[in-house]
Amino acid sequence: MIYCAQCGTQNKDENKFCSHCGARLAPPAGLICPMCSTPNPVDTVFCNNCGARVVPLIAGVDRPAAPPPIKGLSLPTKTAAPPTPAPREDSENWLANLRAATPTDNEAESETKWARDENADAEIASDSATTREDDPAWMRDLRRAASDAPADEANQRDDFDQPRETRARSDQETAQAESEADEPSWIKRLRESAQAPEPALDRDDRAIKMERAETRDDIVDQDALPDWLQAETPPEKITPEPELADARAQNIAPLRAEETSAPRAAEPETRAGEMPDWMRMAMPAEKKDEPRLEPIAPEEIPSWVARLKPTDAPPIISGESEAAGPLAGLRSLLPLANAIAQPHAPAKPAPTPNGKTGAQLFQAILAAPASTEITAPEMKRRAPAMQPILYLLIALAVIIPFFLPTNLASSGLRLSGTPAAEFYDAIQTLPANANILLAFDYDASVAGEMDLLARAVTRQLMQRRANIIAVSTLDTGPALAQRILEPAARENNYRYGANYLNAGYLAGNEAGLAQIASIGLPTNARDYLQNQLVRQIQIATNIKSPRDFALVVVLAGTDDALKLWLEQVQARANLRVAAATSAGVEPKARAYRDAKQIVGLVSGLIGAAQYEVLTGQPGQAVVRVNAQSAAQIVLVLAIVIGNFAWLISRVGKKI
Amino acid sequence: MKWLPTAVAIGVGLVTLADFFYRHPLLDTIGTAFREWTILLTAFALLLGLFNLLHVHFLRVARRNEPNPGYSLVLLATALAVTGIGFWFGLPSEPMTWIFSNLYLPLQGAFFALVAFFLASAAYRALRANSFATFLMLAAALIVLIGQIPLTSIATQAKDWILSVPSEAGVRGLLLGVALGTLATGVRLLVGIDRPYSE
Repeated sequence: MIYCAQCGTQNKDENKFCSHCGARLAPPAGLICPMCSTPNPVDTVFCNNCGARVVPLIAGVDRPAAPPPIKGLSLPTKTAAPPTPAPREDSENWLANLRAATPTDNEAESETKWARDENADAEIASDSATTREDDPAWMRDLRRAASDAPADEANQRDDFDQPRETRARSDQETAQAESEADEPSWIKRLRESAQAPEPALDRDDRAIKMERAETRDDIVDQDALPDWLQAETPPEKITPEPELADARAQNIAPLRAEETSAPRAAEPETRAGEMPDWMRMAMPAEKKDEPRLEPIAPEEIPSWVARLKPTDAPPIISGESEAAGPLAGLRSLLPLANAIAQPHAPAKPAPTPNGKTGAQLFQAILAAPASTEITAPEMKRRAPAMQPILYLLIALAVIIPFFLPTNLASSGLRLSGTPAAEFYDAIQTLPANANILLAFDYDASVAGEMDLLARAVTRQLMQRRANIIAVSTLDTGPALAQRILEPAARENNYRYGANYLNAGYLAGNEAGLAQIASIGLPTNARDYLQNQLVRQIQIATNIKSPRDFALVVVLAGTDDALKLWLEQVQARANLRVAAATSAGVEPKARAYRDAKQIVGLVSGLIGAAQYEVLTGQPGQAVVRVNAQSAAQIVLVLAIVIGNFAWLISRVGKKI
Repeated sequence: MKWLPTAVAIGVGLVTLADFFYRHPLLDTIGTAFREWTILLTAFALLLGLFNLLHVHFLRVARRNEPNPGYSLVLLATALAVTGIGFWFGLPSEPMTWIFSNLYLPLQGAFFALVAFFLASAAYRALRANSFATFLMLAAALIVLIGQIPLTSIATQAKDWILSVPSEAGVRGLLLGVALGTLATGVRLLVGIDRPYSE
């Protein structure tokens, strides 16, 4: 649950805004998953919800699990953002600050060894004084008070001139302020009583306090530190005044007891009534077992401290100041905190075995002499061996029937009950001088197939003495129509304008056909031959509405053309439509025929041959049916042989 | 003013739709005018397409780094020649009819005839009975091919059955799907959801 900072309303965890006042809710602490926005604990590497990585991965480095947070060091425990190259200005700023803080050569020489050791002691003391996260708040507080060491002294090197007591007190106050929100009330009162104004100190009290400071350092430094760290303890200590030595000797033992065990032992008795039950149940066992706060055991020293153990390597000796470059004016080693805090380039990934192999191969390629001849890749294309043979067979099957005086295929044409017969009957039943709208909606690519159909149909229409008005929704249609109409007109003594008319191109597709369905013929249409207004030509003067057309014959090379006529004209004006289509349109045209939207259907070369036979004038269609049938036989044989060969090869592979 | 094209499109569409369903003198007049405008726009679009085609190929010739500029050069020269002949002799005329009958038609027919060879090769390589479904497809293809040959009535009847029952069922499904899609597109245009004219 998230409580609104504005009104205190309790909201759900997933809410971003308060459900009561609409204020933006504070985002949850921790790492926000970039994939699902789920908050995760700080030390999480992979999201608890979706498993996505919440800690950026440095390129080339396989990062292990997140390391445990380093206690007692002011280093960031959270993995830093992906390192980016530091801007020049930023680097110069922090270097300038560091340069300004760098003492001169004389000042550096005057820095004594005990001062440097003091820094090391302070860092270790701050480490030990830092409370553990898993300990109760009261224990952390007590441990911090017992250690009584400056927690952040490592980051406050400029405070060396302050008295040790002042520094210790300020650090303790800082630590208390940080944990003030989490500690129980009884601890607050306990601290307030401990921080009450002290009375004026006499000489003995000052000696005791000085000894207390030294004792705290001894507790931490001498007892908890390993031998190698104890060896680094500064030999120079603040020497008390001679007259205070006796008082120190007399009060040292009670003082230690007072600092460690006395406050802890008194708490459960004096504040037991104010403590919660769980705390009362938990505290006695711990206090009985630990009557005195033990200093940090050597086993608890973090690993990073162990790594600081001095080795036999020669120490780095401060030398001359840098004269040029970005480090000009600086000497010795850079502070660790600054080096870590500043963004820096990502670590260079360690070469992998594959990378090494690739690099060696690349080096070998570069070292090899360049080849002068570039050989063509030997990509033998698997050319199907049957393809040219198949092409040759089909070509022969198409050509040879034209030279053979046989009607083998055409003799088997079925006529009765076919769609072609229905088409033929639809024209045969037309009254004399009926107005027929003949649509030439095919282009030149299918003209070899469709011209045969168009000729047969036109011939029959003219035999029935129908008035033919030809249109086309394709720009090449009028020219194709003229090639069909003109010879047929000569054969049947048809006169242009009086018995037939080429009304030309009908633009607009659906809109043009809608005009026909609406007013019969477009008012502004001009014919193909004479470029006159169609409405003014003799044959068209009888057309006042689409109802004046007894039949619409659509010669469709594509199914879209047929569909346009059926949708825009047949359905709208309820006209009778007969379709002569290419063989590829037949499967779709059958659906309209079975739905009685078209009164007759004749398709492809077979349909043209049937129609020629029906009209009693066998022509080119009958001849071409033989060629088409021969080609189809070749194709069927090729498919069957190919499947057999494939099956045999498959069986052979299995064997 | 972004609403103006949408308003015009919706208004024209509704009037045309009303003219399709109702017979009214005023609606017929307005609908006829709209259709004539559409025809004019379609003719203009055809002319625009011609100029665009010429422009593209002219650029291909002008830029010397384009591959195979010779084809574009042939196209430009042919278009220029046919257009010039058409303007000079008129349409239709004997030269134009000769060009149409002796150049255009044979070339178109030859290109389409090549499809027969490609289809034959593809059928030979692709029609394999790998599975039950491909076996069905192979059997249907063979039956239709054999049924087209006017030799045996049994094969012809089997072909008619395949085209009338399973094939027609699929075709009707396709047509119904296309009709529904067209209806949905029309409604979206009429209510202004789709505005291709403003893109």
